[in-house]
Amino acid sequence: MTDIAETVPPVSLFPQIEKALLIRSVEERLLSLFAEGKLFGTVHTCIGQEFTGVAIAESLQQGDLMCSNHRGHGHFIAKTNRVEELIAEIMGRQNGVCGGRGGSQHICADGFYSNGIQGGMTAVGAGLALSLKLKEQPNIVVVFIGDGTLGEGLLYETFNIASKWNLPLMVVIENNLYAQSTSQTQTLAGDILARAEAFGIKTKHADTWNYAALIDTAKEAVEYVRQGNPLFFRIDTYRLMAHSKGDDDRSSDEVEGYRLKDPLTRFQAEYPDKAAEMLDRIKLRIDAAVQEADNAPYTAAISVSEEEIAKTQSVWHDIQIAQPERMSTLLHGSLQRNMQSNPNIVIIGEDIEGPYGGAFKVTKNLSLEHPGRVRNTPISEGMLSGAGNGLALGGLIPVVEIMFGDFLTLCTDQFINHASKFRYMYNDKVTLPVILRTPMGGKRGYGATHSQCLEKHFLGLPGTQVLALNNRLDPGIIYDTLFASIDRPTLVIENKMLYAMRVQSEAPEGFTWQYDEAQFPTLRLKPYGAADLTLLCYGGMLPDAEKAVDTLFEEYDIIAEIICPIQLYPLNPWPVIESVQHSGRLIVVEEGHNFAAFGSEVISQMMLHSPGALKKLERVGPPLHPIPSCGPLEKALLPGVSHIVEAGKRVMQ
Amino acid sequence: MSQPVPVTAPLNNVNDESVVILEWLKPDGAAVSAGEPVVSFETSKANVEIEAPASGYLKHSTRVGQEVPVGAVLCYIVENADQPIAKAAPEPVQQPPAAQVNTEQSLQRFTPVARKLAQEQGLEAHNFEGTGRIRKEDVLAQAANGTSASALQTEQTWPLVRFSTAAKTLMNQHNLSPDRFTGKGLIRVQDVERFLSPPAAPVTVQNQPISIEHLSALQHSPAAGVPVEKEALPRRKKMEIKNLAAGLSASVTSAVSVACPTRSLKNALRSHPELRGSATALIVYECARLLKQFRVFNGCYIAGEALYYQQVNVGFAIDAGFGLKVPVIPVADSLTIAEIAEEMNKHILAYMEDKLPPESQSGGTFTISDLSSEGVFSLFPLISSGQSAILGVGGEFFASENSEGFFTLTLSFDHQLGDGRQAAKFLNALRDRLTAYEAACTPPPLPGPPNIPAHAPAAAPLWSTEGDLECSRCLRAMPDLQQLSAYLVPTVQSEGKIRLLCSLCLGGF
Ligand SMILES: Cc1ncc(C[n+]2csc(CCOP(=O)(O)OP(=O)(O)O)c2C)c(N)n1
Repeated sequence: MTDIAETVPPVSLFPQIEKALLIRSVEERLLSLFAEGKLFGTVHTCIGQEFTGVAIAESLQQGDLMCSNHRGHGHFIAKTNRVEELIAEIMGRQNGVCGGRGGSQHICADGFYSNGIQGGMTAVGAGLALSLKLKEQPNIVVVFIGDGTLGEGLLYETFNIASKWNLPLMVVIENNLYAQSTSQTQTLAGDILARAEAFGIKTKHADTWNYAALIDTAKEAVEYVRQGNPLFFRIDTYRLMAHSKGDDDRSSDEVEGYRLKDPLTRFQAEYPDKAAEMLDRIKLRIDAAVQEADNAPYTAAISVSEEEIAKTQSVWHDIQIAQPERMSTLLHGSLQRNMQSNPNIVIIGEDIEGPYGGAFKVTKNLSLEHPGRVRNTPISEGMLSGAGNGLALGGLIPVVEIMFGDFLTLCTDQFINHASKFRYMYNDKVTLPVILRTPMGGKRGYGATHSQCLEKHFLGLPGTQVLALNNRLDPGIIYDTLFASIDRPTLVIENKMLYAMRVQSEAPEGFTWQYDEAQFPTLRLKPYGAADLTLLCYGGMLPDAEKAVDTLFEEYDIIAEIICPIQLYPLNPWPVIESVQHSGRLIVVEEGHNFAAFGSEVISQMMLHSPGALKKLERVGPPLHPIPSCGPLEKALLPGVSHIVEAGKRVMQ
Repeated sequence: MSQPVPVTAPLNNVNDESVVILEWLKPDGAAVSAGEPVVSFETSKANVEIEAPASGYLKHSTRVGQEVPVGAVLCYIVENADQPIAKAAPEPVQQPPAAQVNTEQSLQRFTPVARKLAQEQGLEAHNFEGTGRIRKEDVLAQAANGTSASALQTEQTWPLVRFSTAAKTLMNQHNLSPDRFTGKGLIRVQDVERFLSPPAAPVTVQNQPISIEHLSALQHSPAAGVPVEKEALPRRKKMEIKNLAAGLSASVTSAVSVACPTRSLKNALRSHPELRGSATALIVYECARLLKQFRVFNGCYIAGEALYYQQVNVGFAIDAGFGLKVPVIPVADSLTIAEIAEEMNKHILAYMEDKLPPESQSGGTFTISDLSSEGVFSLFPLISSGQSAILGVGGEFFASENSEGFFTLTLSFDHQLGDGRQAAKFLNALRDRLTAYEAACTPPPLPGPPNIPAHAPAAAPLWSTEGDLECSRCLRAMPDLQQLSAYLVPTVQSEGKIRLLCSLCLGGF
């Protein structure tokens, strides 16, 4: 434990002390508001730790960014001084800093971003730092974490990349010895600073009891980072109140010991008049803030019209592709022309730099054409997607390539708890134009962990969109549209089997390929005649479905119409509903396990919107069996032409 | 990308509020150059063709048969073949002249979205009688009802035809040529089967079914004081009454006749052995083709609306002891003479065994009643229920001793659809078609009836047949025939055999 400073604070530090007192008073008031039932959920107060934020904020400049966590009120007040809006926010009011949507842990204003997911903001911070670096802005990013968060792997992925890319990123660890109820002694192995040092990152160490020294060290740290270096800053401190509420098993002796040496306790004892004067000012401010918030309306629900696509009559046009091209060529072409025309586009991923250019060669020589904007990363999918989110928050359009769709599991936290939430939680102050591209699908013998279609786990997240490309509509055009319109996190599924296929509009004889007028159209294989059944599929199943339609007609006298959406979410159920209203029969084809999947949702919406239209249903998908790498068995288990043809025969019985 | 150029229906005639699209002279999506005619439409006075105002690709936005207000967009010329219209095109600008007030009002009844939707569905304001402002929901409901105008429009045609393997097999079994299905898209077994025996014409008429009881208001009162014997009518007579009474009560009937030389028919019988001596089959064949041009005689009038059948299903009346029956030759306009004769023969045989299935008598869109073999001069046939015309065929007569023979063709028609002038046109066209067979077969290979007076001794055996000189159909021998002023005509059978038919059997079945 660090010893208490011998010296009393110089008068010149009164403003910082008053700031720390303001923070403490706000936190204390929040605790009493909580007791009054005026707050929701919980609050994590930083009472005892106020000087961390105060010290860092002292040296920050206009344009510097700060990321924080669950215990972020102090950091926020230190950086922005927006006390009134913070109180209203935590009270769920429309005049809150995020309109009352975010609450205590999800705050955004003036370059401050907090999220209550431990460690998640470290990678986001790295992305923000990269955006600053790419835009050649002389600013830095500070990310606060607690010592318990030393257990999160993402931190080390972030250390690694921050060091490798020399990012202006400072990670500040508030070392208060506990994570909720768990003592550091139970969970922390090795040395704290040595962790960052192992990545070649410079470290600094200070504490809140010697706050004058802390402020000086913070100044040095900020200056060092501003030169374009990462830094890890350990600040020893102690939380005097419970983790949130009532969850405090620490001995009262221990807590009392820290209370005695707490700088603000000492200041109040040593300068009672000064402290009283400060507290009077603070109380007036807080009282007014609470009263104003109390009179403001609660936050209201937002429109979900973008998530539920209203009924429209589909208008179809024939697809005409003059020159068939390989899917991978078209993808590369679109990335290339968009990178040329839009300097905000950045691509990050594993093995994507030229000449290798990605496992499926989509990024070919783009890194040579745009040095610095196409970056190979370590094998760190969590960091990749987090950095993507940070780049997007930083105003760029990141394209994150995940080598295999299976590895998307490592991005779920960033996609679900960060990307998809920021815009809402931050009251539309930000948009997240981040694109995750990834190849899904099997039939290449890669086995159970490299062959799946996992998109179902990413469907239905408000504020996101999921697209699945296919070989009948130029995927380059889809990307062009996406780059021109992107305003939300977007997952793009590119099936592995499609890359080598040629994109062309030629349909089986007696059928025409059509697309509707949606931004990301639904395709229809329109038969020259009334369809007996509707076949719903997307992405990589389309070529098989198309072959099956040909066989069903030629050999079994059955006319099928394919409906193939590109946009899986938000779902436009109307084209398939319209089709089934005519055919009465539906086959849903999915390559991934179809338990609680895309098809389940379509069928349920069909029953809701057009009860009675669906007379017979078949579902084609793999059995609930892991994907074997043994070729013949994989082929037998994954849905293919013959499975669809059989379903077609069954549904006609 | 430049804006699509709209092509609007011009005002040709101040009295017209709307025009009807007759034909697309260029298909949807076709490349057109400025000045090329692209669409023809009908106004109250004339048929008009419109030229493309610019070069580009044609995008239809209306359908054949659709009634379009003057000033509305018929189609667009776009720069790129795949340029979408609905997004890029501005709403058609309506600039109706003063005379167009009604049209404008009827268009204003639609909300903009509803109007667009209604145009796509081929629905018009009159489809929404009783609805105030027409909203999107109304259009969707109306379209879903299936009562939309598009349901009545001509069957969709496709740029190609493809047969399933099973369909091909079935076609081969029936010797059907693929040409039969030109433009019909994907053909499955069921489509071939439907072609072979089509279902009833697709219009379901929501008329009150007319029962005999229902007609009691029109009952006769028997002559007073005259003793009567009451006899229940057989069911089939009741059916007959029901049908004819319904046809009669729903029509405003009128009739027109023409005389047609017999010679050509007889030539046709000779040059078309596949007719098997049945001139009726030939009349069915020619009528069916003609009816495609005269749709007023292949439809029916219901409550202020004309329904035009999209199939030509010709019924022919038989009455030879088992009641008046009208078996139907479906899609007669797409059958060959041989197929029609074959079909008729099948029905006649079934009738003779009193085994004519009811389904073979339904779905008729036009009827022919041939009483030529009954020695009548002319007849006034009654229009069947759900139809707008019936053709009566009379027997041969001679204007003077040495002139050639004639027979009468009488068309009874519903004045609610057609008129006398159209009926005359139809009959004249039919006569021209029938007389054309004369030219097709000169000189007659065998001394044929034209030059043989009815009472001339036909005994001169210029042809060799086995057996006696008798009509191979009615088996009347020469002496009987002479008494009836009939004569024998040699006909060539498909097996190459010569068969004798009497002029009575020749004239009608
Ligand atoms: C990823 C994740 N895991 C668990 C939690 C639940 N949780 C919230 S705060 C907290 C303790 C954090 O301890 P530490 O990082 O030391 O920060 P401190 O609370 O001490 O400031 C935990 C476990 C969380 N918010 N996020």
